[in-house]
Amino acid sequence: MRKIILAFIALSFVSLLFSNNLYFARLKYEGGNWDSQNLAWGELADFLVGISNVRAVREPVILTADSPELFNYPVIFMTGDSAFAEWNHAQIERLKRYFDAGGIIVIDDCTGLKDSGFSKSVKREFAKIFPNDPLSRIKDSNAVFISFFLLPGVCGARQSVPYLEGVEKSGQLAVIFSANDLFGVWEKDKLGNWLKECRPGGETQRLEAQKLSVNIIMYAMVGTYKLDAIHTDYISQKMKALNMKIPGQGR
Amino acid sequence: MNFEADFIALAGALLAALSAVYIYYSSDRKRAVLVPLRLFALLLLTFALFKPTLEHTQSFKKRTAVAVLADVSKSMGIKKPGDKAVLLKAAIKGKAAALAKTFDVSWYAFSGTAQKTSLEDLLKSDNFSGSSTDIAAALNSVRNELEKERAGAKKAIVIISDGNNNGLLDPAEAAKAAGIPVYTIGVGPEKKGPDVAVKSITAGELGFTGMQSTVTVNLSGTNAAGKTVRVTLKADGREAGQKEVVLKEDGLETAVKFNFTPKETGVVRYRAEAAPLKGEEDLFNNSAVCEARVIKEKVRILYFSGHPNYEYRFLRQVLKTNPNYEMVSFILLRGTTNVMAFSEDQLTLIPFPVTELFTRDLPQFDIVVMENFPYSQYMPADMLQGIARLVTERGGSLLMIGGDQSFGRGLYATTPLADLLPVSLDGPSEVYDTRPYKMVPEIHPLNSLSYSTESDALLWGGMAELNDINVAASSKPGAAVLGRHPFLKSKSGEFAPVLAAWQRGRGRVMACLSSSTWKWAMGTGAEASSGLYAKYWQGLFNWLSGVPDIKQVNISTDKKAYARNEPVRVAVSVFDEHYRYENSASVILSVGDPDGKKYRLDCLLAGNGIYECLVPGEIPGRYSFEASVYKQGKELGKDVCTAEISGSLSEAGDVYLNETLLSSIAGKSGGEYLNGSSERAFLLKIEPETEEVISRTRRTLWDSPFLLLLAALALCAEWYVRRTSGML
Repeated sequence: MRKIILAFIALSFVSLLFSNNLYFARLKYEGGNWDSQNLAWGELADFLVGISNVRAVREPVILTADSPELFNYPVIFMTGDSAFAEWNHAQIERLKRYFDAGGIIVIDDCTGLKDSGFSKSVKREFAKIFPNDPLSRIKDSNAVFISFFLLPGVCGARQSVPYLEGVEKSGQLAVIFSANDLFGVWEKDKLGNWLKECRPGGETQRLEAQKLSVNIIMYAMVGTYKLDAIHTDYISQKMKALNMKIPGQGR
Repeated sequence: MNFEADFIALAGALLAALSAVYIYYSSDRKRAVLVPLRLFALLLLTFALFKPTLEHTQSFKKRTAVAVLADVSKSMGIKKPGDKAVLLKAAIKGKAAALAKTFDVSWYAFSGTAQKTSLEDLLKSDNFSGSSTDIAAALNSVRNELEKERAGAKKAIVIISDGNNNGLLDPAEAAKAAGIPVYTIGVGPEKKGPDVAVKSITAGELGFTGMQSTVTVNLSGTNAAGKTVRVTLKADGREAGQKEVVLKEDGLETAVKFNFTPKETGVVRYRAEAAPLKGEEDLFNNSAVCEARVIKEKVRILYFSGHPNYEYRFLRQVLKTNPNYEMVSFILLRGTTNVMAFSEDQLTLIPFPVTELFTRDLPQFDIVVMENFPYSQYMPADMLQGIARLVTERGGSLLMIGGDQSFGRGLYATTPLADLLPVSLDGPSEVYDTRPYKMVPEIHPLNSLSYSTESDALLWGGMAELNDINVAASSKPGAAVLGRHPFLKSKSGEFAPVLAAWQRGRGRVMACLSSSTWKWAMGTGAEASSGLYAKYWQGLFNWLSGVPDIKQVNISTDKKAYARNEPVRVAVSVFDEHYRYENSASVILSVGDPDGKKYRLDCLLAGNGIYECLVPGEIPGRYSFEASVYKQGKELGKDVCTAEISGSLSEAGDVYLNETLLSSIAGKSGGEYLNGSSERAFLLKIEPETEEVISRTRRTLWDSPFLLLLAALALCAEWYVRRTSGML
């Protein structure tokens, strides 16, 4: 038993240093509020480690578009609740290189409102990064909706936009944008109570939003894995039974 | 005359003038003699301040140099439906000769190349036997001659031809690049009846046995818009498909696609034939050929990953974008210890079919990848025997990728895979180090990212750091270590191998002892993504799958098609059994020419396992090459390829005038196209002459002693007048 405990501690230690761990690398930016949802990440990491083989690290990492470490993190997270300042040319160019190299950004609008100031700022800046590919609705048949859980719909702590938006690059999503305060469903106070009430669906909505968060992270780690034929046959049967759109169709 | 004065000098001059005026008005009339003298001296000095120079230019008018190129290829000798040679001579005799009155004309006869000649010889000659019409080559050589011999003069080139070019380069682009206006005069009968031409036939360079390939045929018609034509595709002489297509209006191409499934490996030769239209006379352009190499069906990869991770995501991207590969992957998204609060209905996880995969399905795959895969949680070690058999007996390959559950730490040291791997494993206590480091690549063909070792070193120097390694006990004798850790050492004392590979039985095995090579894809952000990660891993997977480009012996030519008499450079790359450059082999090249004659040539080492040989491409048609490589009497391998020598084949069939091409040449170079039979022929708008400056001399005046002496004399005279008038 002692050996098992020691091995577990050793494994946890190695885990902390491991390059294939999931770090919640958060993008800091000028203006607006980059540090919204700062209580979500530890909870989400624990959930991921509990239900899956994802090696998620509780402590977030803070980065800017100029950080030398940016390219060490193939997935970064950006949250906000208000309009933010324009990125300069060097930052835009650096982010272009980041996405060219295979980086993915997950963006969450904490206002949970359609066309908020934050949302407008995001679209303004990403139009500079992807001038020919504006953020557009991610199809229901995308792998992101089947990467771990079967998802009937899209929500967060709010349900203002029933879809995710994104930009696809080389056959995989480079940008995933949620307008529904997706990561807000993970925030807890010190007593362990949920900070945000989920409206209008209550706790059922929270659960669906949590499942979507897991799917997005799983997608960022394994890409379109679930669209392989070996999975789609199996998933199709399940989805047929649930009257959901068959994965891979319409891609 | 020029002045080089500045503002200070100008101010000085103004001051001097004002002073003189002041003196004049403030003095009495007795000083009237003095003022001009002083003014004169001041004016001289002011004049000098403007730094005047005297320039003398000598020039004369130079006549524009015009090179007239007359096409003497075989197609110009065709007598029916119109004798082009007669038309050409008539055009030259009647009007071109008049050019010499206005221009400095030189005459050339061209087919493959351009040869200087005289007007008289051109008119006398009946030798229209040139085996090709290479307008671009002729233009380039004449342009170079003009640049050399007529520097400074205006230049123009006149081409008299039927425009039936069959050279390799685009003549219109060559004319544009020449920077000299090219005037084209077309001679030959215009196409009156209908004509269909197979403009091109293309197939993917690589096809797979048993898999459908698409062959695209582009057709165009003349006087045939709306007509239906039957197109037949033949593969190695056998009919592979037939389609009917309606032709678009003149000049527009119509594409026809054929699907063909090759059954055998090797080179397949496709030929597209368009059935003649009613009344069509020119049948020569009704067919075209191309070739494609066919290899065995797609390489099937079975990929096991121990957990969701970036190494998988990035490698998946590389493999999925390559049409040669088909990947089936299993990632352990959920571990045996994970607690699941959700019902199975809500999950997309599928059962991991261990037994079926390892006992039944393995032989269907060519490559097995085990990436940080903790086999011991899912199967007994004996089940891995199937992978060992796949490699050693069936010629499959194994790639093991590192991680904290891989190699020794993953308990593989006591499995059948331990013998297969090119590194010796430690037990469960094997060191797994997560400090960042830059892999030190060995000089090896698989590490080649560019065209030279020096350039490779630069590219590798720019690759990002890795940050994990399984420190194996040692690399095994005979294994090729591709990359090492810069400071960590194995138990054997060598720098720890990061990448190692070797051949085992009929198959190949590679160990990548790091699971952070995805960092090469992300890079450092300093430069744009170079794609080197994908290129490198493609190369490694190509080696694992044994596709043709990384056979021990590979033969290739520097181009696919050559002009007649152009030497064909044949290169043979040779690797030893460990895929290191083999520099001490004997390479013999068997050449088969289009006439069926066979002969042998020795290839010489050109560096880093490359042996070269030049074969003169004298006969139009297809040459075949077979390289046989030997070392110490033992055959290392053989490979074959072909090359096409273009030239005379189409000359005999080029009956009509190609006005489109001649117009394009003239248009792109700033010249003009005229039909040789028209009244306006040779009324070319060439500028007749240019003024050339032959000498320009400059003399400075301001520093002339005479000028200073004159000023001094004026001042002395003033002094003398003052003295004699008692004004001092």
